[in-house]
Amino acid sequence: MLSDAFLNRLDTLALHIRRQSGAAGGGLRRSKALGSSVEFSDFREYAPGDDIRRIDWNAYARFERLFLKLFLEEREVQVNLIVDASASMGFGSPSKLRCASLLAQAIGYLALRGGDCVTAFTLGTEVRRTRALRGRHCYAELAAFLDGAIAQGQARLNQSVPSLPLPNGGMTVLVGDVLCEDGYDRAFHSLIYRRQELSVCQVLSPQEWEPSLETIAELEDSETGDTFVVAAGYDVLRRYREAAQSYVASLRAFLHARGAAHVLLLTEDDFEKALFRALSRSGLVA
Amino acid sequence: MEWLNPAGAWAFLGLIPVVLLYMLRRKAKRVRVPSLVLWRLTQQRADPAHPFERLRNQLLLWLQVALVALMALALMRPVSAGGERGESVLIFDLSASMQTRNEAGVSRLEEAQQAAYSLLGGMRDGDAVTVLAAGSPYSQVLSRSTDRAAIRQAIAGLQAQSGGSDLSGALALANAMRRDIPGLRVTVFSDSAISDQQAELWAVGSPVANRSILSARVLEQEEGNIAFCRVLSRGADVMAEMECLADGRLCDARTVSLPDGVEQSVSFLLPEDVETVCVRFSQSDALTVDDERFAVRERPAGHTALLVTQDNVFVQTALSLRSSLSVTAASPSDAQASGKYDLYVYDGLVPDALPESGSLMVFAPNREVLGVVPGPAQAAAAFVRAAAGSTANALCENLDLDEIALLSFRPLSGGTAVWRIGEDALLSVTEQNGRRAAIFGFDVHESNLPLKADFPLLIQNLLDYLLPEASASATDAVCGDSVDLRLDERTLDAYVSTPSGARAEAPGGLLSDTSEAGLYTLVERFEDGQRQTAFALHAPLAESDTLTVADSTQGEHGQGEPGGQEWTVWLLLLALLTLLAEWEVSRRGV
Repeated sequence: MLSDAFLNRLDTLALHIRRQSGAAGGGLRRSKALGSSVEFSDFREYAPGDDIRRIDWNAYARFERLFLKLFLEEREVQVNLIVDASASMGFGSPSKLRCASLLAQAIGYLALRGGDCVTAFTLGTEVRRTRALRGRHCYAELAAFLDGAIAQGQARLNQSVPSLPLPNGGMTVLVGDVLCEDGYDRAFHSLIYRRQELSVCQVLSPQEWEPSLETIAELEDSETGDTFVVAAGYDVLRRYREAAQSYVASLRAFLHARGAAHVLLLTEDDFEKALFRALSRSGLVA
Repeated sequence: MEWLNPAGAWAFLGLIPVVLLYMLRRKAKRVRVPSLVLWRLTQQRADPAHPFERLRNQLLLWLQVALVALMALALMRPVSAGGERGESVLIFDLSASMQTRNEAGVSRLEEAQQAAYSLLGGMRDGDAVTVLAAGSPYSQVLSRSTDRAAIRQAIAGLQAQSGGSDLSGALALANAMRRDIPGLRVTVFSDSAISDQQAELWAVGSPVANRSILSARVLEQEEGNIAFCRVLSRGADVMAEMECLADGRLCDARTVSLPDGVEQSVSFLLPEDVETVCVRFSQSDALTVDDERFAVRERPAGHTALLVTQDNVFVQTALSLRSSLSVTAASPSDAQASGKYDLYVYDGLVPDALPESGSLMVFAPNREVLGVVPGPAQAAAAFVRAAAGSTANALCENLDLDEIALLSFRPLSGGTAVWRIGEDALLSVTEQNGRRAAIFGFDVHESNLPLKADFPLLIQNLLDYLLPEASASATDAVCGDSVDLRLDERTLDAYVSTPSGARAEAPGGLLSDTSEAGLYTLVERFEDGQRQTAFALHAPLAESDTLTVADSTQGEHGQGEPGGQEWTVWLLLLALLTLLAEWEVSRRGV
């Protein structure tokens, strides 16, 4: 759970959602629907059956025709937090899962405080989820759910994400290392297809970003158990760094091409500082 | 391609631990990582379509295998074809001086053995080697062997003896082999020079100081018996502690100052009934074989001598020094009427008819004596020097000939020269039908010889030659030479007890096993009992000269260089490059 001081700092921020809400529930987000908010939207001529309380009498006096004043409807936004809790997220100090959990809590907190509906998912051996959370008081439940996640099993995004029960429209924030053997394109396409405003927070440990192997080693995949023999040297490590940068760059290009946001977060000791930096760079907060 | 050291192939066994270590290394380091996605991408970036990718993954192994293989090949010392197969004769000087040890305690023979091992290392597999031991006499230890182990064993089994070395005999045998074996290399390991120009001399040893006891005798004098010895220090001025043992018991000790290069006389008081004496230095030096010398009290049978002279007091006095010799002086006119003597000494005139028996000592003869003919008189224009040969060496022992001067002489022909002046014989000895004679080619009155201390010594040496005793009197015989024991006529059988206590047979009175220096005992068995007679054998005096060491010479053939091109250096360079490549690959990783 985030500290009170950190939550106080989050109180100065707000979750930034680019798209207008299409959800049915009332909330604080400006929606495409017209309603009874104080925010003026447009005029239209009166038609029988319209609410005569919305007739603009000043316009009638000037034009001798009946016009209605239209106001935007304020609705809630469905924010989906998907956290990768596979075995690979157990690495790093602090662990990648811990960092992912805190990042998701921060976004969830901002969403709850903004009157949005938050649903959290963890992908590991099994898919876990929360109920639809609304209101600031539900942060504790959200935090408890995410803190209870254990890094185990295999998260195959292309299989698990499309099967998640997500409504059409809303915002989805996926937090994880996005290192999947079978790729990630099907998962992200499914989210975009469901009109989700997608943001991907990729969490990697510094050891993953710049490994420090000194001798020949047999590497074992924490999720699949596959092995890979490598004799480490500066040339190999250089190629690894290039491959890692290329992988992250291709992921970012994939997401940006589809209007999704991407932010890379390395697990560090001063995580809260890194978290703020990541949130500001991602455009998720304003 | 041939191999100088095929045993180096054992180094190929080093491939086994390399492969094992490689396999163990690959299994030992298992590291659990979050995901292999990025590592697989890394491999793809390393040109996955490369046909030798699998080989490249095992590049470290292949480089290490190549390194071991190159080192093994270098150890085997490959030689390209082109050189003719060689054959060598190794001659080892086993004389007493090869026992000389340097400051590190290594003897010259051990140096020679190490040098021979290195020479063997330079030979190709299949080269035949003959090993000759140049002791006294020389012997063939190994004949044309190609078995390296046998050759090394033969060399390791060589031991320096106490006698001289018959290098000339060994070289003669090697030269005889050379006639049958073209390209035969002859290498001599010695501390002394050789005269054979076709042989290579691998000189061993370095000049070191040495003390030596040159001679020792038991002299009976009126005031008592004394042991008289002459000692010499070469290379350093030293104070030496000497001790004398009479019949095995310590009887006297002295501290003697020995200036470098100056002979000193030392005497020790002996008990009255002493039979054998051992004189030695209390502390050993570089060469121990000459630090001890034995002497046997002479109890010669009495001899008679007729001195025919006109008042030659010098000769008479010198003869009378031998107590066992009864000298009768006669004038030339009375010589014919004299009786039978063991020795006849003629000073100047020689009777027309020589005695029928007995030895002769003739000064300035006017005619031929037992085959020795004096030439016309001529002025002495050169220095007197000792002639070459063992007989001359024995007769000139302890003599200083440098300051002998004479007015004229008559060069002698025939016999064996003992002294020479220029190329002419001045003093000769001869033996005819069992009779011995010593002929002086000059009149002692016309020289300063009688005035020198060397004159009585010379007379005593000549008396030893002219009146030979049984072996007991052969106190200065040399190790390595056969000794004629001159057995008693009554002897039924005889044997000799060596210094080490072994029993040596002496068939016909000839003792050939004389390799040890020290006190021997001749045991003669008669019908009515037996007789024991002691005699001593020592190392030749020349062996005590440890200051003179010859320089190595190079013969027609290079020392141990094979005929073809040796590739060892190139293989080592290649191995070095492989090592660098292995280091770089290890640093870069695969």
